Amino acid sequence: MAERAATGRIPALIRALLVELGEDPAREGLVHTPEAAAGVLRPFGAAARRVQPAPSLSPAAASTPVASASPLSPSSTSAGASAQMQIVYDLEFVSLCEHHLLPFFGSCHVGWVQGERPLPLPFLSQLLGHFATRLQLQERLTEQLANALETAVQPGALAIVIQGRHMCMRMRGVEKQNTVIESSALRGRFLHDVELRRSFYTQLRRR
Amino acid sequence: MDKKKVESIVRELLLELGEDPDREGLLKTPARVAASFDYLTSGYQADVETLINRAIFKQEADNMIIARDIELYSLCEDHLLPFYGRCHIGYLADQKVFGISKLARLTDMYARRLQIQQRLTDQIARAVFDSIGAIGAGVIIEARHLCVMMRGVEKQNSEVITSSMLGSFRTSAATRSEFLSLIGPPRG
Repeated sequence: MAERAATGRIPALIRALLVELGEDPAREGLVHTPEAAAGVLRPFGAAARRVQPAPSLSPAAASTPVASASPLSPSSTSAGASAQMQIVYDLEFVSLCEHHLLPFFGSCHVGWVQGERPLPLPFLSQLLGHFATRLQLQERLTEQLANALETAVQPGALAIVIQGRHMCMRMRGVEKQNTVIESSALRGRFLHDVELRRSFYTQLRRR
Repeated sequence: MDKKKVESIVRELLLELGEDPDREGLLKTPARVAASFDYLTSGYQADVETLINRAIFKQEADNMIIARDIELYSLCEDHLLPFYGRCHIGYLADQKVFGISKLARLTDMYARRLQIQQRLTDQIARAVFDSIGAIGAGVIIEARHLCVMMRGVEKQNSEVITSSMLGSFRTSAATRSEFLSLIGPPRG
């Protein structure tokens, strides 16, 4: 009952939609569909976000000075490592396209040079989930993730590349079934350090 | 489908989600979603006979014919979310063959409905088998379900495989195994 209350009128609206699609919402396979579809949609709505705080850097990570930080990769714990670039490939996400309410999903790759604070992988993954779980556009998702990371960990350099597969252009519309949309956001040294940028993209492509 | 009605349902839905349906990005969403559902459920308006449109040809063929890797997009009736993947169709002809595009069209027709993967597989197999009186027919669908993918990042690559075998594809292990070896291993 709690679930039902939380989803408000959404199940009733889904039921009305089923009728419009020429379906019988009372047939066996569709009896639970309105509640199930509401359960899928609800977390993507702005209302759900208002009651769920954005992920934040743990107080420990936020106050860790760089010298004694425990960053992601063991190789970067050596002296001078803060100048080294680190890359995380293939963080998976699923989001909902705000134009068609159809899912888009894919991989997010993040390269950075540590600045003020370490960038813990769980935080990165939570932030990606946080921005993906809304009615979204891929370009905006990329920007929002970059801005939030920049604010939270103040990296020396930050590059985000997102490769998205969009159901709205695969199963309908232009029906391009293998097209991948790539979006990127660069911050800090990646903006003017051509060598660093090239090194990031080379590693990304060669992988 | 009454498009205006679906548009107003989607607009209400956006409001229930706490969104502002008048913001730029969402302004046309109700119309787009209505058109999208109309298309994705257009399979209800089609029927096998009209679709095949007499594209069945007499042919001295008694070998296996296979259409492999037919791209497939459907909507799961449990969550109204997409599932997508590949459909492989094989049949043993008995003096009659399909026009080559018809197997893909049959797949689309049944996929553009609210479906569950096993029913979709059975419907395609049954339509192939019955419309030309084939000696046997087999359909395999490999698909990923967004309803699974959206529930956790650990399940992005799990694939569901369903099969439906009729006639000699069911009764003869040799025929079935020839079909399976010709379509190759799952490509997930």
